[in-house]
Amino acid sequence: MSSSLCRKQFAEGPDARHLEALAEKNWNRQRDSLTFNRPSGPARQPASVILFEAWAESSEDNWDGEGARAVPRDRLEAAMALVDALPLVFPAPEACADRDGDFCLEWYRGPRRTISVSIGAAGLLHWAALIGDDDPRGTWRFSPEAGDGSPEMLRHILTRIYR
Amino acid sequence: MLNPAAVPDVTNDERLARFVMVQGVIRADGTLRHNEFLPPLSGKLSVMRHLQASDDEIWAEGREVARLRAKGLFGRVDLGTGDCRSVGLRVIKSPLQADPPSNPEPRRRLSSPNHADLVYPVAAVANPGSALPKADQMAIAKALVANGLRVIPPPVATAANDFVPCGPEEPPPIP
Repeated sequence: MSSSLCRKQFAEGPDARHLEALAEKNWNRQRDSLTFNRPSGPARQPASVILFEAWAESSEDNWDGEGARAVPRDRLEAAMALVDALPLVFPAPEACADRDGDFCLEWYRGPRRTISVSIGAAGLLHWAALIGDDDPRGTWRFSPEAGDGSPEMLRHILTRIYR
Repeated sequence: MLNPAAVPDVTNDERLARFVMVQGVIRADGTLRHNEFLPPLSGKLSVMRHLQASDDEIWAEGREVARLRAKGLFGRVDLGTGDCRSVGLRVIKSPLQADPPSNPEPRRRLSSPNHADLVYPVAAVANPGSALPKADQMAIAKALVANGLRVIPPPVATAANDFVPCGPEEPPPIP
């Protein structure tokens, strides 16, 4: 992620430096990976740029004109940590905000080969997938500060989607 | 448009339009992400009934909603009432009458006899009557868009319709 994106949002303060550090870590990890650096869409952008741009569009209240809640910065950080914790064999997700202030990651290979993970408060990850006629869903807790890796079920479902 | 004095209930074979004003919910291939159909904080998701409305009238209402919300209009998706009900949503008529300008709520300033609400089911087991768990809401919304709902872009301006499409501001040219 470019420094200018962070600084446009946060000026030169500690928030900008913190996000830049996260993004740099994410970027360094992706630099040599062909697979990770491939989002669901056609554009080839690092995941950190995709996540930050999606978050920046929803970082203020009422971003949808219907009274949506702003997505707190810690949801972006959790999203970066989750993506960072995934094996490099999976593509980078697309990202989009939810009206309740959650931050949603989407892996999409087709209408019935997709999973969405909404990053909510207190480290809760709400997820729903569509794989053929199966529509599994549930909630995980994810705490990267406590050393949590990516949820095993997420890796399992991504494997089903991209195998 | 419907007669405001005699708005009928929404039938299963009716078409509905949802106006899209957030670019992030549109994938690069023009299909819609499920996030557009997650319930807003009010719990009711606004749609417009096609019944007795011309295509021009539908777009005119979309433009008006976008103007009232100070948002860009990126397009609309059309879907069937039966599709909504088959995934567990209720579709109820909810005609809107223009409020006095003193009312600050933009939604209620729209005057639309064709307005309807999509209403999510409530939880039946844990915390009966409360909102569904988020993962269940996501599953419903994903099922709704799984048929490949595509965003129809607004019509371009012609001398006949004088339509000015709404959209994001153009970025400044690179010097």
